[in-house]
Amino acid sequence: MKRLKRLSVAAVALGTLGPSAVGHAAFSGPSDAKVIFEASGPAGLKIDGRTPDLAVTEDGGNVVITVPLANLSTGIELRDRHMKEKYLEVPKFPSAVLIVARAALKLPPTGRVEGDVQGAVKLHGQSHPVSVHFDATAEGAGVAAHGKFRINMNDFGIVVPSYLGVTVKPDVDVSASFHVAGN
Amino acid sequence: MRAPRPIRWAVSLVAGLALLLMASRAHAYPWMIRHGYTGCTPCHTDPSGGAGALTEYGRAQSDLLLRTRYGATSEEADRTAGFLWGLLPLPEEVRVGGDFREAYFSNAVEGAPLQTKSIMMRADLYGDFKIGRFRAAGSLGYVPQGDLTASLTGSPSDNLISREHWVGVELDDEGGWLLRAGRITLPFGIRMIEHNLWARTATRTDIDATQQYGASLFFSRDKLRGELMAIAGNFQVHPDDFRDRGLAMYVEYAPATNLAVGVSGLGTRATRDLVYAVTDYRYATGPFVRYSPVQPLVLMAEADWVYQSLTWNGHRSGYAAFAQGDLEPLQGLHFMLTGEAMNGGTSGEPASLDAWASAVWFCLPHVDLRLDGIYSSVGVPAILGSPASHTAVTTWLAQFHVFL
Repeated sequence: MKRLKRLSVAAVALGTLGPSAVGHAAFSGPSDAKVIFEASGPAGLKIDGRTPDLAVTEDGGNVVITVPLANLSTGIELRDRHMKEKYLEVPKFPSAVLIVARAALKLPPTGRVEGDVQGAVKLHGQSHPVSVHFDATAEGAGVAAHGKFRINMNDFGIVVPSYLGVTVKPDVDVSASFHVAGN
Repeated sequence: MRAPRPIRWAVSLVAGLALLLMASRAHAYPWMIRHGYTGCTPCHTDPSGGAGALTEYGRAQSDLLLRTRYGATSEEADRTAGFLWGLLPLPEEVRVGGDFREAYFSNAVEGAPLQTKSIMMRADLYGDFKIGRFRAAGSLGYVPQGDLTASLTGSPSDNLISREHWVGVELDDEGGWLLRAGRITLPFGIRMIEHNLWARTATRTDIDATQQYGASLFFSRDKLRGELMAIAGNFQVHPDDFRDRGLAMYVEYAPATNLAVGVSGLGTRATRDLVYAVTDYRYATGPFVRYSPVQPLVLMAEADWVYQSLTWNGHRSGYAAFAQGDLEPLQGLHFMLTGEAMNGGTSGEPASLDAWASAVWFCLPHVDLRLDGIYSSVGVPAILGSPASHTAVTTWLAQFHVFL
């Protein structure tokens, strides 16, 4: 059975840049990408937003993970519309971007690595540093990675969503997993 | 000429179930987990759901997610979602509503005459008022028959009833903790609209008329929620000997927005049991689960062990369980299959089994239609020389429901 492939955005990027197959800035894929944000509201209310869209590139010594937001979905159409139009302003700011210095990424040629790395998230037209916890596993010529970090909507100038008396908390957990095949 | 004793036993049992069917139903849609709602608080004023008024947010969701929408689904909630179809705007702190449910009922018990009738299942008004962190809620309704344990007027029929009335205080700013006292629906198991499921009747924990007076503490933090209630008895039942006293609780953990697992427990003592009229210690406990593998489908199940110690009448150890699949191929249109098993624990009692096929259509704002077909094979214990047996029961129920 095919092994489940996971990587965090940062981890992914990181994993991708490891000394094994990843060292030359060429990535095929990523595949099996899954980006999830988890917001919470009052009294245990949870909201998950998901998108399979993710791209990994290398630019000037940085690994850049770009998540287009157009297909981000919470499972409720009206909520998605509010999220994209009113809060994230997707037409104006179509993507979220995580940038991590390539040099900060350490990944052994084989096995699994787990750690934390500093990066920057660009969202809603604003950039803010984040600490990304990641794990990455070498799989053949590629890497499966998973990573997560937390952002605060206020840091990015996003209006905290509130609808008919239910207000979402500003902290949002973001995680991503994907598989990248190195050249 | 009298029917054989086992038939009379089965008819009595089914008649009891029929009375339960005749009783009212409120909102309780635990399959809303398909939209990521693992808890009840965003939509219901009762933090454990299934009873009382909807919040303004809940009313909007009933329009956006519950009923069939005939236009663009990304449009805002219609103004008709409000109280009285939006004709009477109310402040956010005043949450009121009402329910009217009428049904046509057909019940065929093997070896007994067909029983058919139209039933007023529910005619209730209810409200929940919030001032700062303080809360007060209550309901008032009329029932032509049944629901005697919620009766305010104490007549054999045509009663005014109050299913719940309580005051409380929210212990934090977001309503994650609620301490309340009064007549409250017992915290136990999945709060299903199908309040006559055996898991609800055997444990006496439905949302219909089995509420008890007492004090409860509800909490919901992150992925965990639950409620613990100290039961002081049902003060709408007299005399005091008939009142249950004890504890009831549930805890539910939602590791994901499409999965929730929980466990319930209940222990009570009554000097005289309402059914058996002797001292009764009742215990019940069991797990429950809700899971939505894909949005159109929700699977729910609950299994409870039920134990009674009846003075001079021995001990009974039985169970009640159900599993239900809810398929919503088109928003607002539900097809449900439900299977149940029960054994009351009477000596020599064979298991009772049944199967439901149901369809519900939330066709208009505040309006839904429902059809249930239920086939039951009711286990009849050996009685006075008659061997243990099963009696077949076929029930049809067509309902019209409107809420204000």
